[in-house]
Amino acid sequence: MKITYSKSGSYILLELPYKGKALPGQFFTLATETGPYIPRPFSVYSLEDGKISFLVKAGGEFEKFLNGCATVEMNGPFGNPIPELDSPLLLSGGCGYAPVHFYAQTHEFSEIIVGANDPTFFDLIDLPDHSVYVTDPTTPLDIAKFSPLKNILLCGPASMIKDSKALFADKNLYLIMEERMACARGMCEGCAIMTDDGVKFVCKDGPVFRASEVDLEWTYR
Amino acid sequence: MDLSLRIKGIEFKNPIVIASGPLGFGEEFFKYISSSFIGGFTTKTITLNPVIGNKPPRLVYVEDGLLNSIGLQNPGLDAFIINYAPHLPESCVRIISVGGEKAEDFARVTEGVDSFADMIEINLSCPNVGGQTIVSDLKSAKAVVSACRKSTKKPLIAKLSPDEDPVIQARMAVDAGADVVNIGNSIQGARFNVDSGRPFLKNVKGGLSGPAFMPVILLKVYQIKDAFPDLPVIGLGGVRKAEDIVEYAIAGASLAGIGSSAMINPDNVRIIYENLQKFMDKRGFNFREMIGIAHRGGFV
Repeated sequence: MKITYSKSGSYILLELPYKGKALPGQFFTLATETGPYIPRPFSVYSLEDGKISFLVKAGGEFEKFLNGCATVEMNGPFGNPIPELDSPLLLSGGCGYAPVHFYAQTHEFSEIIVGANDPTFFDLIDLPDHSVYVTDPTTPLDIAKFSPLKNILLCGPASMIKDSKALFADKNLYLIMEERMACARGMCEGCAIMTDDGVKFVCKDGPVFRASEVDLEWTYR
Repeated sequence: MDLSLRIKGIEFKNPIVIASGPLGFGEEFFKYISSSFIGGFTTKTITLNPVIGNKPPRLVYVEDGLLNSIGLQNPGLDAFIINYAPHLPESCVRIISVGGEKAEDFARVTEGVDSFADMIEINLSCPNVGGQTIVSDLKSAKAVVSACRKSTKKPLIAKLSPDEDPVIQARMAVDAGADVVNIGNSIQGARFNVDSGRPFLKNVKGGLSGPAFMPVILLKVYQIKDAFPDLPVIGLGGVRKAEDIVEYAIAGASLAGIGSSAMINPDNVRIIYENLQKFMDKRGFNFREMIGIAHRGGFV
């Protein structure tokens, strides 16, 4: 196990040994031997050479357990992989970069724009050539709104997801959704979102949804 | 040693009962674990009409627990009978949880699910629908249990609330015709976001489950058993290891529910079952001999 902090201490890259398989968009639940009681879901950031990596926001409960733990218990992979998109524009905010990065590592794409509120985040992560990266007060959407690309894949905070749906109403926008979950297997019904086809669950039916099918007013405050 | 026990004519091969709610109708759960490790499986609550459930967030993480606000999402009676009821596991006791707003609704759902159930659990205590739990109004709760009693000959379980007096609730349930009581549902609680200054949950309150509140339920099991020595009790809340089930039995529970622990990892149920068998073998007595032993002076 390897834990690397960004220089400011606000993000963590967690690397664990793993011999199994996983695809971009899929996630694992993680807990240490002392907690948390409900394992937390994390999208795969990278999988290569027998190592799997996750991006963790510092300051949360998981970090408390991570520091000083001997082992991390992983369960997964859960969720459906990101569908293969034709020359997509990839957008991310904060830890939402994890599934976007894994997709960029394994699929063709046109452009990638990465946002974070902490500039030292960009020293922690691996950025593909010709990436655009922005920090507050500029957001990835400020740049992306000028892009002519038709297919867009986005993962980021709720505010970014809400803004993107209005901004890209005439594009094929795919959202990698995140909700608190407990079972990760479609049983507990905790990670509900509303779609044109009724209530769906991020863990079992997602995490990728077409923005046009998601009712974000119901899903977010 | 023997883990089996008979409750109101129904044979449980062990005292582990999967709680209503977190494992749905078992369609995902039983992909991960065999029902041979389980004494009984309780479905999530069925209502007469479909219920969409609450808007997110539906979960708040709590140290050693979980605060939920699912809101009884379910497909309704008709869809349950067509799509789910025929597929309930047959190698353990099938307990179907019924819910609703009025006594007539409960009665109709009870009639509808009767042929698919070995036992029926009446959910009187969901903390996440409406303003108050049904059982907070004893008169309404009694009308519900009585209506269900008239609708089935199957053993009835009254699922009570840890937010109300357990003995008064149990008396109401027994008087109205319940055969077993389950104490209980999740206890009402809330968390507030220190950044936004607002509650995490839209309804403010949710139901707290998990090990954090097991001592609360253990006391209520003990109190019910003290008042009703012959009434079978299901203790539900916070079980995550075999010794927790032993503790529930000592307090007076015949059966012990498992919810969040099975949800986190279904294989936890197998581990709990195997360790419970080892515990009983080591102690050298049958599980049923241990039920309520705290009321008889303990292991002497």
